[in-house]
Amino acid sequence: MHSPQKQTDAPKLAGVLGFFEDPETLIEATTKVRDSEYKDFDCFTPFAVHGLEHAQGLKRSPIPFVTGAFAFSGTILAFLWQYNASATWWPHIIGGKPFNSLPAFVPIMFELSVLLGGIATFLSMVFFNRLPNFSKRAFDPSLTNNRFAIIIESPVVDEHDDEPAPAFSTEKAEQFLKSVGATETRKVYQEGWF
Amino acid sequence: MAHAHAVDQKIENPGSLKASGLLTGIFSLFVVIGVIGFFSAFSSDQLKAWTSFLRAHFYFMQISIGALFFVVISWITTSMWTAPVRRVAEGLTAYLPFTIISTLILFLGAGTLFEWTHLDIVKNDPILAGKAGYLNQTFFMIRTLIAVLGWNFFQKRIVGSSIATDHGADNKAVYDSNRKTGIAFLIFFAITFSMAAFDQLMSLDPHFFSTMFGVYTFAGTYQCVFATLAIVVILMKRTGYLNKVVNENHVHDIAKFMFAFTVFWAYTGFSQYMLIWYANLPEETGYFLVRFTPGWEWWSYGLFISKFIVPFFLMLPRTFKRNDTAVFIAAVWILGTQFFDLNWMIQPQVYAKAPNLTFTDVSVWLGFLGVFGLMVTRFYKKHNVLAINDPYLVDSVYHHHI
Repeated sequence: MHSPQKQTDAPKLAGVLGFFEDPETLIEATTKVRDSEYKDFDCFTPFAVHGLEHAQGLKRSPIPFVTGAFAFSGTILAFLWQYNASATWWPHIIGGKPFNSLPAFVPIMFELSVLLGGIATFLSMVFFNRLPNFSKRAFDPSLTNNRFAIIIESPVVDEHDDEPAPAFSTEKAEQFLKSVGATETRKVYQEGWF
Repeated sequence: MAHAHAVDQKIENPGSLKASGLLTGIFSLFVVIGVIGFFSAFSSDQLKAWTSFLRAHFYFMQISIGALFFVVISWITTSMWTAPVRRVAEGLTAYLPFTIISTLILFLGAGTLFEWTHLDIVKNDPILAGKAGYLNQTFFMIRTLIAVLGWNFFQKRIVGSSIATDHGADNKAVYDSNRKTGIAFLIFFAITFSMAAFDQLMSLDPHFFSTMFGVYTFAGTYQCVFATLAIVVILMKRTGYLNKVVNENHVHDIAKFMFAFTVFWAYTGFSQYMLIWYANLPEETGYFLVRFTPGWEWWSYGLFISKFIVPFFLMLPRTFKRNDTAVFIAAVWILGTQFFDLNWMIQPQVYAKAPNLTFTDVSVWLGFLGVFGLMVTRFYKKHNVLAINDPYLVDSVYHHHI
């Protein structure tokens, strides 16, 4: 079981982390990183920074569309279920109302829309955030306290690729982060993150 | 982007509205059309004239008092995003003084409109006789007057002190006092607005009663307030008054409220209908029976589709809520459907066979629109269109949705 090759393996490089002291410089730097040659990067902030998603060039979350799709299917499913139950499968006259009593179906249609929409929102949030991840660690405790950071990720190297991508120079990346205003830079290694 | 969040940043004061005489001319023309329409029908068909009057009177009264409700909510919650548009909403309340006059005129038509004002009918009708303690002309006049005078009192205090901040009044003191006055107003509004809806709309069918009626009317009201607000804000943004302070996020917020109250209107309307349909009590079903017999049936379904389904899907996509043109179209559409909603509440009681819309209905509404437009633009011409000293204004300029 003890694979000697694994034990001697050094921890894999995750990328280069650059620290920033305030959200304004972070947003400015992020804009520059976005427009640079580094395409794999991410930001870490202790709180939600307004405008950061624009600076990062993030696309809109797909979650609302999942919610919408499930909510509308909930409406339709609830109608079909109630219609078939009370008008085709077990037709009973209740309270002198017709078999297909749409007003009586509406509350259930509404509730099932909310239920499916809500559950779909939660599950798709978990899915798109790649949760749960029990082994995820913060690269630095200050990132949940008072500091901000950008990580330039080292490109994924495919060992079976005949023509490997040009080598990732940590020095160059660190220099670049310093040039956009990072107060401190550091190499970080994978710890069950990626 | 830079370090734009500096607290001492100055916002340029757009000043007051500099409208050309053309706008005043158009609104004045509307008033003339309204007066002609009302009196030409008055001589031949009093019922027609008074139902048109009631519809137009209630339509603009509800927008203006609903705008005050919005203003008060933003004072009480000290909300940040409303800072650049609150003064616009305060302008919409400038129509309120006219509601005193239109209410007084409405009293003249009470005999034509309301069955319960005729004592001989009430005497021979046990249900109406039982309700006579509430539904009698003296009490009706007293409580309706108390309502409109109270609304005007609160409007003077709350909007007046907001304008005072433009001339150097202490923001903290104004916020504190408006919060207290605002809470009192909310209680007063909840009671008096439901009462106005009961008295002026629901009592057209004096045998019918629904505790949902006040909420239903309020839902439609607040939907229209945001529609009106959206129209004025977008126009002011386009003409360069608010383009520096109102961004797409503010429009998005207004559109979200418009969307939310579109849903809420359908929710209250359906709740009212479903319980009555389910319980099937004779004294309640009459109201909906007349509205779901051929002649009015298509109107009921059409109202549901036009006032709920269409704005719902129009305002559902995020891109539409952030697009001025789309929001403007939806707002105009909603204000149009409110006319048909009020017609649906009023006309079936007098024209039970089928809807009866003529030139009078439109012209009287146009007349009230003229008065509304004149009074509201007069406010914007007199005062800044932006509460320039509001402490939340600078924050709000950078209002942003994640």
